[in-house]
Amino acid sequence: MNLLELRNLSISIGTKTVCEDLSLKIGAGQCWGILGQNGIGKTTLLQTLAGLRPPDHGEILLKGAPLLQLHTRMIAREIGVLFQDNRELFPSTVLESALIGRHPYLKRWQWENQEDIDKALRTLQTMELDGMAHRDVSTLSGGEHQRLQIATLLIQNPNLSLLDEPINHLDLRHQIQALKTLTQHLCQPDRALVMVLHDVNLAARFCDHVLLVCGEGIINQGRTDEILTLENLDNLYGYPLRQLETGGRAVFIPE
Amino acid sequence: MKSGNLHHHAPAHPGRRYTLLIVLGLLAVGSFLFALTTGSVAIDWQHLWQAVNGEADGSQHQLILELRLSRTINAFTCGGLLALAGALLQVLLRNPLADPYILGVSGGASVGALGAILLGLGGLWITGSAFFGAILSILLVFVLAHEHKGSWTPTRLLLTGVVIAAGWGALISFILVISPDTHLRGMLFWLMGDLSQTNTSITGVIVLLAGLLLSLPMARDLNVMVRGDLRASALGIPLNTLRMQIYVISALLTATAVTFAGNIGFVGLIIPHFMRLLGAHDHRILLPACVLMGGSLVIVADTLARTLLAPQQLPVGIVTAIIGVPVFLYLLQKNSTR
Repeated sequence: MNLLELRNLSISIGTKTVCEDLSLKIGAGQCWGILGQNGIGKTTLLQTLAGLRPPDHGEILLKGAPLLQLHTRMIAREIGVLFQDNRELFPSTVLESALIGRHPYLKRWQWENQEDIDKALRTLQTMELDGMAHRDVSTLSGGEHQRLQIATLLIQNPNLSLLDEPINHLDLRHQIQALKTLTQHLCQPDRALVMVLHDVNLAARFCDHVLLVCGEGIINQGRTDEILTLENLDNLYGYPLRQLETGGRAVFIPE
Repeated sequence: MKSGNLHHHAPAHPGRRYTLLIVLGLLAVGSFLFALTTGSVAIDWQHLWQAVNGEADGSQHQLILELRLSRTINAFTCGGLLALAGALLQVLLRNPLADPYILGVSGGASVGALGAILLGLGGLWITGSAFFGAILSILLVFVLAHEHKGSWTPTRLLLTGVVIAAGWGALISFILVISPDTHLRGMLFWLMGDLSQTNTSITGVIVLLAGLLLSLPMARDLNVMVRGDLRASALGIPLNTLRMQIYVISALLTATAVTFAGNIGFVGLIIPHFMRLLGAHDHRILLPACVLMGGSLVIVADTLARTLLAPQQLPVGIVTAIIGVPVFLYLLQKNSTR
């Protein structure tokens, strides 16, 4: 089953073309990585897929229904987004912030119940934020804040997750743990995960499909083992890479 | 931390959810009693009790009590209107420094009121033209802040409001400069907030209730909205509709407050912060808490304003600032060292 389908999608920012006539099917159980240079339009593409920005041309179908005609609240139960800029300007505890993920599911007058709170606390524990539930979010470090955003998304528990650089600010151990947790929870047989990454090797390890945003409307998409080649990556980043084999895995390092 | 401990502090725990509101409710009742019994003619509890029981004896005390009651209701209403408007505007502009006057509503009202005083008009004319000025300012900002695509950003709205407010400020100075000395005192009182009118403003009470009832259903949406426009949209908030609703509600709240009490500074900016410092981050609690606390503060301030230098009356805006500034700074210090 296709969770999200793009038909002849064209997106541009001002005079810059992000993609032209892009057709793409994101099927259940798939994990996609989006790679590309800074400012090439990865975030814009992700926001368009989330229905937050209309494309110039083309159609986006969520489980077969035109995305932009669906009710925003209904979309929020299907699609979850993790943004790059997550600064909170108003005081709030970590738990209060995490419970925002329940918002699309609650009726107008409904309060988060004890079950929601227990679940949120467990998710905070998964992201190693237990013991911080009642701290103010402004006291968190960059990495802790990023993990809180991931926890909030896990609480929202969407069928399609669109993540913009989910491992920003995280140390090496937390990067791997976060990606393991995300793929384990959000990339199940009936779900799909799409994430913008800058680390080619992590994309190779965690994603079964990749989408290379090469600029000037050129998109290169397909299975990770077919697309992540030395030649494609040289072109993508405009910088030479070297491929090494270690433990049966291909590893790319910059020259 | 033990998990049992976590549960005890859970914000949505039914038992704890309304604790703050109950405490603030008691504070509001207390400030009503303080205002009713304090003044140049002291009224003891016995008289107050008789009046509450409807055992009117037609005495002087009875009359004074009625006058004080309507003034106290006005003070509460005004404080509630401003604090609620402030809380809503801070979310709308996503700026914790926003206050109800920032979008020029009070400037418009002031020009209207001062214009009427300058022309020698009184009473209802002042009120009417103040309200007209406020509405005019609301519409001006509303139309000018729109971008081509029909949506507005908080920054553009804020800039438009601030510039319009500056324009009104210049007009206010102009009116003050050309006014004869006989009118100046009345104008200054109006500008600094004046609750000495005697009639209970039923309109004010109705607008406050309506504002609270209309904003409470969107309170959880506001919780999401403070976390950024994109996140709010992604979580299913109809952003443009919600912004429009908040703008109209908060503008009308401010216009009403300014119209019947002039400019009472400080309340709309500080009360929402004060409540957040006390832990009311959730707008479902924050909004009613602001009404109760704002109302109580203005009641106490107004009581002090009419008694501190009696028979001389002070503008209530001076007193709200004198009470509020040290209390707020103290809380801020305490909070930052925690």
